[in-house]
Amino acid sequence: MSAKSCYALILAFVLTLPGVFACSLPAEPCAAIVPINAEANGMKLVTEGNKFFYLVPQGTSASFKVVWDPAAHNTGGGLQGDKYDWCTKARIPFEAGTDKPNGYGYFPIQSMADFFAVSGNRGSVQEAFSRQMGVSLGNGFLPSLTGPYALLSGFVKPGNQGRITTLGGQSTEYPAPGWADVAAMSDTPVTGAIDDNFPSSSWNTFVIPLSTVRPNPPTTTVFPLSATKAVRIRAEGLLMEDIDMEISRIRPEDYKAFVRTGNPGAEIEVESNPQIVWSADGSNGTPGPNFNVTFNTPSFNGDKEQSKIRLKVWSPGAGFEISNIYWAWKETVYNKKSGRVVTQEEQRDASGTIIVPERSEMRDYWEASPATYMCSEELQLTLVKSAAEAGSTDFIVYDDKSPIAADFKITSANRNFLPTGPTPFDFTLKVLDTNPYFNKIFNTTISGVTLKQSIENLDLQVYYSYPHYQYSAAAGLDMNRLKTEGYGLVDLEDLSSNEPKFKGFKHEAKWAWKKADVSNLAIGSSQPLTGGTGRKAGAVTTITGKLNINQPRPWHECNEGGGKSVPEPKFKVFAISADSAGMKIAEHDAVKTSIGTHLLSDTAKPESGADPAACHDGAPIPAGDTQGQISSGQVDDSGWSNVEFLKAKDETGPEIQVVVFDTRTNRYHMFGTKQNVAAGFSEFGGEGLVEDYSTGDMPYLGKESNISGAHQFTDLSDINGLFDKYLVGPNAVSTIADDSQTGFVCQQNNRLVFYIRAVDNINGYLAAKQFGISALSCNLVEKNGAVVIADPPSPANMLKPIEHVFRFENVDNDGAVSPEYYLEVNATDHSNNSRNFKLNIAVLGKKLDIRTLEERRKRID
Amino acid sequence: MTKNNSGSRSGIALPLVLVFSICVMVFTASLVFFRKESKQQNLTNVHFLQANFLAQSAVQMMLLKLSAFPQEACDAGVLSLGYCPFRGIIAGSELAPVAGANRQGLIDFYSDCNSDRFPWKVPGITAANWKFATTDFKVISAYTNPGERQLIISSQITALGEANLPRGEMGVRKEEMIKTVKLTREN
Repeated sequence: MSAKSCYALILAFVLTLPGVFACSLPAEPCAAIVPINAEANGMKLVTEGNKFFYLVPQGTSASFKVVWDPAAHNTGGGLQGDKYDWCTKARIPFEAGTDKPNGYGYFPIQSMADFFAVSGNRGSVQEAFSRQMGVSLGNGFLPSLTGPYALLSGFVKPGNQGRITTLGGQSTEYPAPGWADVAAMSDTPVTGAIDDNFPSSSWNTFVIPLSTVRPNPPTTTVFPLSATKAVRIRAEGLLMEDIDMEISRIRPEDYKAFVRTGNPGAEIEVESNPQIVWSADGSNGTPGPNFNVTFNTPSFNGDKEQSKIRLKVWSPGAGFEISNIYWAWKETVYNKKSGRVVTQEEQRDASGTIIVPERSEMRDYWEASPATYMCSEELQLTLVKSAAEAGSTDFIVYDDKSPIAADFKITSANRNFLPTGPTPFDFTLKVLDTNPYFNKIFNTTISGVTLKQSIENLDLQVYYSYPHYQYSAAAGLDMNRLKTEGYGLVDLEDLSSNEPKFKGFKHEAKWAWKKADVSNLAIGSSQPLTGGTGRKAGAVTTITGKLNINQPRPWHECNEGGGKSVPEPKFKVFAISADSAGMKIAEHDAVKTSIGTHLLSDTAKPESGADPAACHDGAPIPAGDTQGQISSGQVDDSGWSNVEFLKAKDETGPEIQVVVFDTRTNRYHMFGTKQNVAAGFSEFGGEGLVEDYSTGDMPYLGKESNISGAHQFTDLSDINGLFDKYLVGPNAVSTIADDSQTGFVCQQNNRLVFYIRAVDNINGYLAAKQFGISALSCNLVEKNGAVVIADPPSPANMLKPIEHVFRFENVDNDGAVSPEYYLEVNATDHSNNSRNFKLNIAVLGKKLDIRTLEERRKRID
Repeated sequence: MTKNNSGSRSGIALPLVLVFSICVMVFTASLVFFRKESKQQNLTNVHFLQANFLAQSAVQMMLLKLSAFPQEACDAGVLSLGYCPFRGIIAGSELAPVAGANRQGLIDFYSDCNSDRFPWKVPGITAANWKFATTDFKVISAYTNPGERQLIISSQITALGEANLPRGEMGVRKEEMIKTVKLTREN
């Protein structure tokens, strides 16, 4: 070849190669991973313009396959209809079970492999390449003007990737390996970084002197190899000698599926077998072609694009492998030398004596080798379709599964019931769910499928156990039974009978689940949880809110303080909740329906049911249907939820009743109050709280001062009336029956017998607990001060009679009472709540007269 | 010469002396006898008074106790009639007596009204010679006055005074005193 024709060819290559080589490869490896029988497996194909994605309910599993996608779906640009047509014209059958998004289907990956195995008509790839490109590839040299990258990248089509490998051989025309060799490369991507690996004129940056002349020696720029050797590179470029082109041998298993990273959807766990890895470029993808993929974790966070899980296929170096190309250059070697240079000539005086000695110095200089070397390094350029190119099969997975479990906490520092209710409590519910975006609120519709996450969807219900009381009347009670058996409030059975027979009642606690009012719900941030793949597979999300318990503090049960009721009750509270997408555990609606606003149930009993929330059927509410998919140390996922416990503290003093037996009239008078401290709601078994404890007029709740006042029987304003009432009768007096607070009126020198009874609302039926009384004292005061009562009644021996005769009247003719006579009783329950009872007594001076009538005597011998 | 006319008047003096002597003797004897009788009478009276007042002491002690414990006395009296002591006999009531009257309350009431329970503190008075005791206390009648709402109980106190008077060998004298008392209790 003449020099002139060579230059013409070089010029032709320089002008045409970048454009020619930038054209599409004759057949690009374009693969995708798609689901088989997507619709049958619950996936909905949604097309939007030239793009498409699948809308997938959580938990969907399907077989996936790496297929040939000549139309290059989802690249963002137009579909490759011409390439698709190659396949259809070649009558290549579609991959069975795959969809045809936008009308373009997929073909088996093996077909693509077979397609790439096809060479030119004569079995020559180069011929096929040239035919496709329309150019003839001959020998030639492409000078490098701006560096190796600029030259080599001309072979690489945008969207494809070029890789360079050094093979080590030398060309015929440039036989020397050179001092400045090409750095070894193996499938190194063709990027700007490769310039550093090639010896090029840009390396010539070190200025060396070429002589010992100073200060301005002649210089040149070189590339230093060592302290004493350097080279000068020039005329570098790409030399093609009998270029050899081969098409990559494609095996279906070389195509590697991967989840493309770069968007939030890529942070979501996708389980598959074999496991598809996450990658930016897919070079470390998972070999296929068959996969079983399960979308266990929702990816939709309200933003459609961000929520897409993009499955792509990394294509191996499918394309052309171009060899017999060389990087060639010329290099001149410079060696460092040094020579002595006289800097000052010797000077002598007239006598020949040296007056200025000669001075010299050694100076460095670089000397070029006489020969110029023609150097080269054989390269192999591989052109592959880049996996970084857009074009993926996208999936949006939406929440379709219930939460797994929850951890319920009452966060209020004070867990005590308020006496009259309602009692507000702050709470948190940590929900373990497979939705990493539990906290996202959105409402959108995609292709007819409504995707909504909201606070309302939670349908959060809080239930608590609470006692109802069923009362049963008791009658015919005598003093002994009152002493040994537990009863609530008692009163005389018959005021006219003068018999110490009493009526009373007992109660039985019936436990119910009750629904609490829930307000101020808020969904906090979700703490993502990772699954087996290290990707987001769920989250723990804290829901906060306030619950209101409408009922007042339970009356006969308490579990706080020193006077706990026996057995110690558990006031259980638990919550059920859907997730923000409205997905509920299996028993959610069953629990909600069965309880309604309240449900009498044995499962609400304090001793019934374990700590895990149990409700209508007695068994703990099971965890959600994705139990085990993820776990967190914050939530026990063995069942739905734990239960929390409330506290109730007795803050009400006991009830005191005093029976006064007037031996003059033989009547038993009853002093007590209708405030019903020990009774709860019922009065002698006539009423029961079957439905709701909070209804009706409860005389005891929040009225401690009223109760204390009601125990003061000090009204002696109508002495005459009271005299008639107590002494004339005919009936006995009960301040319970007539709801009065009158004192007692009797006569001087009249023996009275007092029976004192105290009973608390807590443990009021338990003789072992002394009917809830821990201390009992009494004080009887008359004219001479306190009466000494030997062996007074005690909590263990209540109703022990106290006899006393008031010898001195304290009522004058005007009805004024002075001094004050009274019986005062103080009782304290085991929670240290006290009650003071006071009965004022007016003693009238109705005297007993003694007269002597006659006297007789006689002597007795 | 003294004429002696002793023949007619010499015999009268002697009789006169004799008569006078006899008279004096009789008078003297009478004085002695009267004195002796008077002394005996006085001892008898003292003995009676001693025993009588001892009995009176027992009665007074009972009256004092009645004053102090009228209610108890009433109760004991009602109990002795067979009624419950804690159930007053209300005017107009038809209260049936319980079976079996029991006087123990009355016995207990008077049983400590005697000199044995209260040793003498007076020098020279010994329990051997001075004794008294209430020997009985019983209800002889009881009724109610509906108009006055009164319970009226008539009771009888029997007391015994016992005095031993060594002087004059008077011995032991016992005097029994029976005192009727009416207790009126307003109902």
